[in-house]
Amino acid sequence: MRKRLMVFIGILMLFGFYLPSSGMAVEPIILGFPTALDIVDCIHSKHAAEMAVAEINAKGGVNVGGKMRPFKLVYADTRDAQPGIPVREALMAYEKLILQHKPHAIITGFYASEALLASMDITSEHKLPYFGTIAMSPKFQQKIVENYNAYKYLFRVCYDARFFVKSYLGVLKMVNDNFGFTKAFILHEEALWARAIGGMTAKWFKGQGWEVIGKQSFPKGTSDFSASLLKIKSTNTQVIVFICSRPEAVIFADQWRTMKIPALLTGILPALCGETAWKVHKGKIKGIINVVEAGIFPLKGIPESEQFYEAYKKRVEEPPGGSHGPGAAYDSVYILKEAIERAGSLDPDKLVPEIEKTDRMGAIGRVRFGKGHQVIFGENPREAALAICFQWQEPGKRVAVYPKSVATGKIELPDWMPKK
Amino acid sequence: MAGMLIYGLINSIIFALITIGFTLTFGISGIANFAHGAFYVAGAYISWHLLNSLGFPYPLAIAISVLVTGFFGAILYRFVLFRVRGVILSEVIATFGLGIGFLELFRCLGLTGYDYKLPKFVDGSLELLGVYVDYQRLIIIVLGAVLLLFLWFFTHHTKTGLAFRAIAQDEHTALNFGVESDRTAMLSLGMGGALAAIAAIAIMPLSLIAVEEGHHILILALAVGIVGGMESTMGVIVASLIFGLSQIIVATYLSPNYTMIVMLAAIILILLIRPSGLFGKFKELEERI
Amino acid sequence: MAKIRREKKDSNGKYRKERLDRGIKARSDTIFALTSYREALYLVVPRAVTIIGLLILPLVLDIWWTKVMIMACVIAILALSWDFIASAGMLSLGQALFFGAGGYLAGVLNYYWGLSPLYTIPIATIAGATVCTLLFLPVLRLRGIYFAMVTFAMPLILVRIIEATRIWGGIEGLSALTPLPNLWVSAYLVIAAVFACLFGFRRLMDSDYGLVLRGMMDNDQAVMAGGINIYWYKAQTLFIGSAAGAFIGAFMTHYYRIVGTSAFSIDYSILPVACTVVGGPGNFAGAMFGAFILVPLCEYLRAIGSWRIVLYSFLMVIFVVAVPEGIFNYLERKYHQFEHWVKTG
Repeated sequence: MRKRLMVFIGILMLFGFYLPSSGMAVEPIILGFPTALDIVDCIHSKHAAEMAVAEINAKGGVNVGGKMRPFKLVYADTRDAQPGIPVREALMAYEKLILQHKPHAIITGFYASEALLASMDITSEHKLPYFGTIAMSPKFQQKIVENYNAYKYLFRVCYDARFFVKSYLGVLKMVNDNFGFTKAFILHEEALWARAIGGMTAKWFKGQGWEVIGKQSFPKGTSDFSASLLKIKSTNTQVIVFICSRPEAVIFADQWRTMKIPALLTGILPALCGETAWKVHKGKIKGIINVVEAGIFPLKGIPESEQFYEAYKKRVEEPPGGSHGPGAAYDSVYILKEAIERAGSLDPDKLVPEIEKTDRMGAIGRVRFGKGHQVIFGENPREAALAICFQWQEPGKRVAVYPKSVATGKIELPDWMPKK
Repeated sequence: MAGMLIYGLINSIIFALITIGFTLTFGISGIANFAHGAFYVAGAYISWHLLNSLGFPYPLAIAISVLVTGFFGAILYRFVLFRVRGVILSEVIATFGLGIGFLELFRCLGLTGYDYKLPKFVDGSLELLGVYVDYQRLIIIVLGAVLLLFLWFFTHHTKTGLAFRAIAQDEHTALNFGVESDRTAMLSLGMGGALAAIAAIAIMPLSLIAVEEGHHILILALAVGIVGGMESTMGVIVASLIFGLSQIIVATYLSPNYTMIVMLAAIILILLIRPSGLFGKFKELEERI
Repeated sequence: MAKIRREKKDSNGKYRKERLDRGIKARSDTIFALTSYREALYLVVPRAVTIIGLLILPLVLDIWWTKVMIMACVIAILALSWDFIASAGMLSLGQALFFGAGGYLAGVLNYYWGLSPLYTIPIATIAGATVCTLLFLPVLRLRGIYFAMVTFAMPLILVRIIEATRIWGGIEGLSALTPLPNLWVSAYLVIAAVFACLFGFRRLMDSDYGLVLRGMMDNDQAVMAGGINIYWYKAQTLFIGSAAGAFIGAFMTHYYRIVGTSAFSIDYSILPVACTVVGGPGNFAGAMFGAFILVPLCEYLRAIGSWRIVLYSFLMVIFVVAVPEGIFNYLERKYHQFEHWVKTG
């Protein structure tokens, strides 16, 4: 009977070897797309990458040393956003994608920073140009800087925690200038990226003469924030910094509103980023200041960005959502295309210097790689990629308030907060 | 301080609401329903669909989803647990497997992202002892109290409820008196499912409907059940109060990060002192050999 | 013993199917009377096919499927450990605790003291088993569902504690650990471990020691009445079972060069149970058999995404309800029987 088992496994494995290969006349350039396919940011990134691939293929494909070859996306669900899924499960999915489809490059990549950092060795072992657009831990660049030769194939197109904080601190400075607020309370979910952002914000506050009333983290599955909110109220905190990519953000925002906490709610709450959030929550999210990457929010006056947003809405029939990813995924495909055309080859060692030379306008602004292969984010879309701070205001609009180069409105205090 | 007490009480009632369906089933049929979390999410998910996909009025959607979830519970017993009753391993695996299976099924059917939100019954808030409390949480307090009263009345003054208690106390004697064990167990699972759905519909408007909630709720229910004593309603109330208040105290004076540790430390402590839980009297001899 | 199972009718008359046990079975399922080489072969072949087949697999498979095979071995060892503990009447839903304890100990030894895997793996095996046994000591008094629930919660507690206190790298975990020399070493190391567990546990359960364990499962009061300290035996069983789990945890730490809180994830608790249920609990071969069906199946079905979780959850339920003996026990029964049609009129 064990023989039968072996035959059974043997048959299974035979299927594994001979997965149907595509019968295209010109061999396509395979783009691996391993990510957590159940997360909003990642789903929208997938649509965006598909859109870029469709656009490029419609124009004949990529010119590889005189030969036109189309792009082809292959997907793998890494499930690394679900709690209780071991990192090895994500790595298995990744390795399977690499070994079975032999991709030429990876787009978007892991959701969890933990998985991203753990996967870097595999990526460099296979010499795959990797364009991360989701995971945000700054340890990524640190590893690349420390060991350039090993990790030079990896790039990140979305903002990392550091650039995110930089944009975010801009809006906090603006709050300070406009309203004279100097008391802040930091609350973040217990995750690598959130802790990094919380720590950096706290450090900045101290340097700028702000008073940090409290800095707390909360575990997954927290269902009540009244303890923190009561503390915020009793200490007359003026600004709340809230960092959480999970649905708990909705509980917090709701309690903040119903408990009438007299403080400005700012931070990163991807659950309340997309254009549709106002409708889902029936307008109960007024006054929240959120930070998103350009692409999810069109850059005023940058045609590439506005075109991306409109084309996306038309193709996918809903606006891009989440906090970051889609614009960066879209741009990644174009960065790769242009690098391949400049290098005239698919050899990763020739591609890397060309990718490093990238300088183009895209959905997220101007894309250039800096130290540690991280796209530089700044305040002017003509000079760098952009993260935008916006506030939900009546009547259901996302009003950009920072940076000034793309701002369309001013920060409004919540109704229950005393006006100065 | 007042705020801490009020919200501590609210959180306690939320704990009790989450757990009551789980312990009711266990107390009567001796089945630990590891699919409790799936029932919880199913209740909310079904009513969301009735509300948004089919356009039902909210009260009708609630009623239907509670009934449907309860019906699922009864079906679970009749077609699955009925065949493996008494084999603890099989019961646990069957309910656990179905629980995970259904939660993942919801995920496959599209329950991801930030669009799944149940509306609150009444929006707005009320000032109570200097603290604002929203109406939804006040409704949860009332609902919790009403449900507990109803359960007490049901098990003490109705024929079915008395049969429930009879089975829980001594199955063989109850059989002699004409109480059908299987029918009672089926009803208990149905009620457990319906109670999970009620809890979900009351609590979910505070948050978003997410698959992860199902896993989380199961752990909470287990924790409350272990500390309070699996089959005792009194135990559920006391354990919920312990958890609700201690969590808010820890969150206020230490950090919200330690709330989970407090809860799990309580479990270990209780197990060391009273393995059958605070109020789990009659199982004590049987389980602790 | 002959049983009537099916009947059929044709123009010549009625038939019924007769099923007989093979003659070499002398008394029970485990004692055989061998009279020829043919009969000896009959018993040896399945065992030999398993051993040789598993030894050859890494040579014939490509890299990806070798990795899947290693994964199957890992889950098989956890399943064997589960089956062993269950043989003593303890229903564990916390295999992840053993796995995580071994994994973390190996990671800590390697990360902070720089010990090579040659030392970390054995130390983590013994120390991990000791820690797990001590943690479960208070719950040994509990039976059945209570024991299951506590073991279920225990790994989750440890994750929260590591997250909150940020010891051992907190949620980031420890990374860039010493790798094992190469894939072949890894593959044959786990294969050796699987054989050691499979045949070791089988031999142990056939001895007098195993008799006591089985006795504790069937009726612990009776064993106590026999003047045997069942807690001492239960602790020993836990130690042996968790040593297997801790070993494989330590192995995985070095195999993937990282260890994090996900070492305690529910997957490691549930998948072994699913494998045992599908394969057939009680005789260890079933647990291994289940792992070698479910893990490759899972990997093969990766393309359908989350649906495969739905599939294997429901599969587990179907098996527990409809085929409680498991595939392996069913096949074994068939192997020892033959059937033919007998005319009945």
